[in-house]
Amino acid sequence: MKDQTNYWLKQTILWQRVVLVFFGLIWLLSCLGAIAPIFYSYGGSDVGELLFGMLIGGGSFGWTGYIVYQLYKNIESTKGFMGSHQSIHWQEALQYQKNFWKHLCLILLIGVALSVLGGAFLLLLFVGAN
Amino acid sequence: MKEDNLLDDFNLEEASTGELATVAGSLSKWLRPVSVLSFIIGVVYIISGIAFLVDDSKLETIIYGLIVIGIGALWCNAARWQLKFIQWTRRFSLYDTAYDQEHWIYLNYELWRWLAFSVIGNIVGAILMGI
Repeated sequence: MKDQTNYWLKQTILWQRVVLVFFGLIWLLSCLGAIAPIFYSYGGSDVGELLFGMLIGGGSFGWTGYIVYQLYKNIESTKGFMGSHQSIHWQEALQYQKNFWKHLCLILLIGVALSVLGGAFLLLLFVGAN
Repeated sequence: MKEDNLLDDFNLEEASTGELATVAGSLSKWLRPVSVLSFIIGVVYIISGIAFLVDDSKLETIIYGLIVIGIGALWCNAARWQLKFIQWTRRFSLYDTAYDQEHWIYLNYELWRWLAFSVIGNIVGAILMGI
């Protein structure tokens, strides 16, 4: 039973690392998103647009970085549980996993809300222009 | 309601299982919207894939459509395992047995496996469609 559980835990860590790499890539991309407005000022010298771009990019950089960190700690705690089989490590792993899902859920919901608002804004502009 | 023969393996007495159940309950609360979003992503992919297939009968378009449907199926399956994990967490917080914890670890493994497959599918799909 213990061997089987250890196998599942090992495999969990493996797949978590795959997801970690994916989120790590998103993190790097959001870093580019944060610094891109400095080099590309949206075709003009609008400081407001520049700051808005940097705020969105910087915000997602920080948020994604936090998500990556929580997933990394989740993996480390799962490794700790595999080595010791103490439930306290499993509890710790679940706590980090909860933080991972919580912040992923929030960033996705904010993304959906911003997309809906942006869509509504563009629709209003379109209706106004016609 | 604990099974003593398995307690040696897991040392459940080291941590309050009540606390464990609380953390698990909180985890499943946040996982639920993610599973709904995963399912929506899957359905949107499948509908887009079907639209590709209906739109054109060229081999290239059919391949595109099948890839997109495949990615959608992966996301739906990821959502299914997320829901199973949430359901088992509820059971764990009610009964709190060592067997529940064993099966929970297994469901956690399936959850991450299918999430990783979905993510890989998305990347591979994006690369293939880019080509």
